[in-house]
Amino acid sequence: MENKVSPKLFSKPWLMVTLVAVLFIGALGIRLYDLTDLPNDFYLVRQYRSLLIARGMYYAHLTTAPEWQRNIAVAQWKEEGLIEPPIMESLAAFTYHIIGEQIWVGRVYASLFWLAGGLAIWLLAKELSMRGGGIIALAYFLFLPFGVTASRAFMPDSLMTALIAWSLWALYRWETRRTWKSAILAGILTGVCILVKSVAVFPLLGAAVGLVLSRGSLKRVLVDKQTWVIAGITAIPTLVYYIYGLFIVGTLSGQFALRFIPALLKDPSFYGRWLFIAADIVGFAAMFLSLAGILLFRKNGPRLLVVGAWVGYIVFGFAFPYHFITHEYYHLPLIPIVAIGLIPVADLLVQQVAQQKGWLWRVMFAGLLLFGVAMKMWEARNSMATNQYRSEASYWQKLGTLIGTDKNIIELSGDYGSRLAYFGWVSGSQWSTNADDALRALAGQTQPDFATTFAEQIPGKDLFVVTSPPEWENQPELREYLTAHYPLIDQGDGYWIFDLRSKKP
Amino acid sequence: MKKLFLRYFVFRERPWMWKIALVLMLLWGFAIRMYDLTNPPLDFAPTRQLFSALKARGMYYQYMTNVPDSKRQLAITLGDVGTVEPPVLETIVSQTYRLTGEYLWIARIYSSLFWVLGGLALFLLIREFASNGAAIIGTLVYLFVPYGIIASRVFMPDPLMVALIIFSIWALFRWQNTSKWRWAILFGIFSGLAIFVKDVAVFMVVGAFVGVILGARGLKRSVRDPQAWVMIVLLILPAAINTIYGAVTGTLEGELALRFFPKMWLDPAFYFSWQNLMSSATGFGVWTAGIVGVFLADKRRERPLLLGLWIGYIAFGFTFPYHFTTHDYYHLPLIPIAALSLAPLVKVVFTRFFERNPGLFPRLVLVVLVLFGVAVQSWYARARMASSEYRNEAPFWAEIGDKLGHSPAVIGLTQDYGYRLAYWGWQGSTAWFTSADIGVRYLAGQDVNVMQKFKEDTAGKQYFLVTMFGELDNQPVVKDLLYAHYPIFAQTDEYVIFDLQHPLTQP
Repeated sequence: MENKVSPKLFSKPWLMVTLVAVLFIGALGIRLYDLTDLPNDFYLVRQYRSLLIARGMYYAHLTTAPEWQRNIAVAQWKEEGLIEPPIMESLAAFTYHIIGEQIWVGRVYASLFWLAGGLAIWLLAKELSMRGGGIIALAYFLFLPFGVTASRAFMPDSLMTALIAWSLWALYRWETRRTWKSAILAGILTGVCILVKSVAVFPLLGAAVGLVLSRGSLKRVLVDKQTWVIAGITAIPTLVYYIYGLFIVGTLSGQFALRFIPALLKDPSFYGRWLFIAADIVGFAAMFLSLAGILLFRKNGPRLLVVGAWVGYIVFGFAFPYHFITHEYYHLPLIPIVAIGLIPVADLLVQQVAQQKGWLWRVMFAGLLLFGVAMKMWEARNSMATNQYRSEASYWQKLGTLIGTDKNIIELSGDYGSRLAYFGWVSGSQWSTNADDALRALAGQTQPDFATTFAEQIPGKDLFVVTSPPEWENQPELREYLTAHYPLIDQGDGYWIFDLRSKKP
Repeated sequence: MKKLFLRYFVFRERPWMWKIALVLMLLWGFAIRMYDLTNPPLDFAPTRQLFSALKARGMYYQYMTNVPDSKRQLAITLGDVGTVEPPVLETIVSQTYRLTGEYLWIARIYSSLFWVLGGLALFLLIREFASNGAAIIGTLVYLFVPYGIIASRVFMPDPLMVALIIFSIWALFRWQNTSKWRWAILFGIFSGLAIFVKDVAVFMVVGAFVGVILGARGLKRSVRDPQAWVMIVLLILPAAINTIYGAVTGTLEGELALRFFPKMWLDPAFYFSWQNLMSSATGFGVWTAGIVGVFLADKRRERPLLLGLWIGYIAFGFTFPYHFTTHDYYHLPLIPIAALSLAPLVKVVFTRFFERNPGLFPRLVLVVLVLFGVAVQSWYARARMASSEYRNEAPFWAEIGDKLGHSPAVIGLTQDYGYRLAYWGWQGSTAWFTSADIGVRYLAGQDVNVMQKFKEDTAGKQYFLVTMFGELDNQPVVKDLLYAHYPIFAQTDEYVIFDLQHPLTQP
């Protein structure tokens, strides 16, 4: 047990339960706000990928659907390469069979998973006997504005973040109990978490190493059977999945391309951007307090657990430098780590407030907590209310009808063709965007010249569809070539369609 | 050996260590504000900064004997931009121009210096309030919150006002604890000066004073205390003289217009925007931690002062609701209030930290963590300063000024109510309403007849200058009027000048 002093502020069980319940209800409520809007507010390519996979899984068994639609849905699913096991997508597809295909199903699951992660933060605080601090840490985890947005996304990250929190709880619980049951539970949760998204290995491995090192004796660690069992259980699911992905179906190999870009590590601005992105996401004050909080844990166990998780997060950044400064959601594992670091600081403050005489100050403190939560909810709500994407669906549907589902197309788009595929039922190969070219250049790959690329990509294609005006503007060579050599058969608000079958004389 | 090192050298509360830390903080705080010193001051509240720049130049040219009389007269005319607050900073800057020549960045140095000196007072205040460690953290927050770095190097009275508020609070706290005449008089002088420099300081200094009187000293005792009465008189005196002078000369007219909008209190968005700007100023975590600090403060000694400051700040917001949600610099006083309020919290955390970490290593980790925090905040502010480049503004406006000829009657839809044109282009102009100006008048229940207003404002004017094309698009009636009825005198991609004297057809 970390702390024997029980704070008076939340000493009444009903008060504690009420507060926790209010936080969870509020957290779910804000995540369900504007539920049916399209998932374009946060990394839409990644979310539409999940939508396409889930729809394909659903249509594969949907006998009532027209055959052409079923074929396209399944083909679009198969075209999405294997990255992580499609757990969220399978759940969504299963739910579609019960309630029909609804775009918001993934959002509901992601939100529920995040809330479950909050429960783990709360239980860890309870394990540490820091319930008062746990309330604050829970509020932070549930209502951090970036967390609210990211946790509604149809991506595996919400589930992964929740499982990171659960794994940290289970690991700490195992360390304090040292029973076989708790060891197996820690192994299962950690293993499932890494299976959901493999990058969770960084913070979890770091945390686990920190925790076992806190025992002080390396020899004790090495001879401890439970430690080896946890390591084994953790590794098995991911090993099996990678063997399947790399050697059986073989589609997982592409996942490792263009990820590790060591040139970035030599660039000082990389570290500045990393820091600013991380601080923007978790809040600078929270990050600072959380780091200071590590030094307020009484025992080495939780201290080194959190230090290890931080070290793991930093190693994660070195392993994926490009994604760390371009994909904000790569920083999601930091949120539970910071929340756990906040527990001892917040607990200390709660204890101090609890020592104030009279009920007024306690009520005001609870009021301040709820006020902070309300402000963050309002901030998130405003952001959701101002961004409306519903009208986009009909745009892509019309464009899909215009192109025709039977056409073989190549597309220059800003979203890898995901919305045209999802709403318009039209898929095609993708012409490189400027960002793709820049990433390849950063990775040291040489670019073939325009003529060669064009000659390689065009054969067999019926149409060249441009759906990104900025890209169209920024690729003058392509624009001039298409305009000069192929008839523009249609042009509208934000799209250009060239017929590749009839070259101009 | 290690124990000896710890006990007698590292982290022992030696006064010289804190002094060195303080000097380094203040020097670094000043140095970061000198970054990109010569960039024109358009990165923050440019209208207000150019207002002061024009005023200071006008004052300076009054003493210039080596310039053509027409130019001197023009500078004086352009510098007659009205009175909002007593031109304290403008006077100091214009007198400095007499020694150094006219450099816009001189004001930046003065404001930065004032803010950093405020840091010295804050350090001394928190040191007495809580502890040396809390004083270090509080002062670092005050000096290095990124918004504060940007907002404290401006040609505006606000940094000086904030510094004087801190000095007055420090004197007030010393008086509360010592009951000495010296501190009573110093509080009176500092608070009086703060209110004189910018009258809205009254909320914070009066709030703190009332807090101390009611919560720490006792009302009954204070009523009989001559020191308290002297403090009140000194607090009121400079502002009272200025107000009477302003009322007699009529220079304060209009200062209170379009400021008080009580109906905004009923709008939840008002409170959200308020909170948003508080978070912009200090960060959400800092001000909420500051409020938690009020809970942890000593009931008789510390809390009355903190409560007084917070209540004063809140009263300030309710009095100027429109400006509180549209002018972020109205929240500058929040920075020292939050930094001071953090002190009880930091004290508690440090006490627990030192209990649990008697060794050298954790303390070094803490020092590194604090230095890391300062470095990140400084870098963040530097990045923001580096990203804004305004050196191309001066030649742009000079070109327009030359084109207009510096003397004719001009009306314009241009940046900062024509102040950029006036400062760099040496061309006065009447500012045409922006859509925001129209909006605030609607909010105040006034009606704006655009056609009538256009007729009145363009009467006798030679040119209509447009450099804000987005604004013109927002006012289609005016846009149609100009393009349909007036010939274009000159235009580029960045501006268009309509000739009002030779209309194509009568509007």
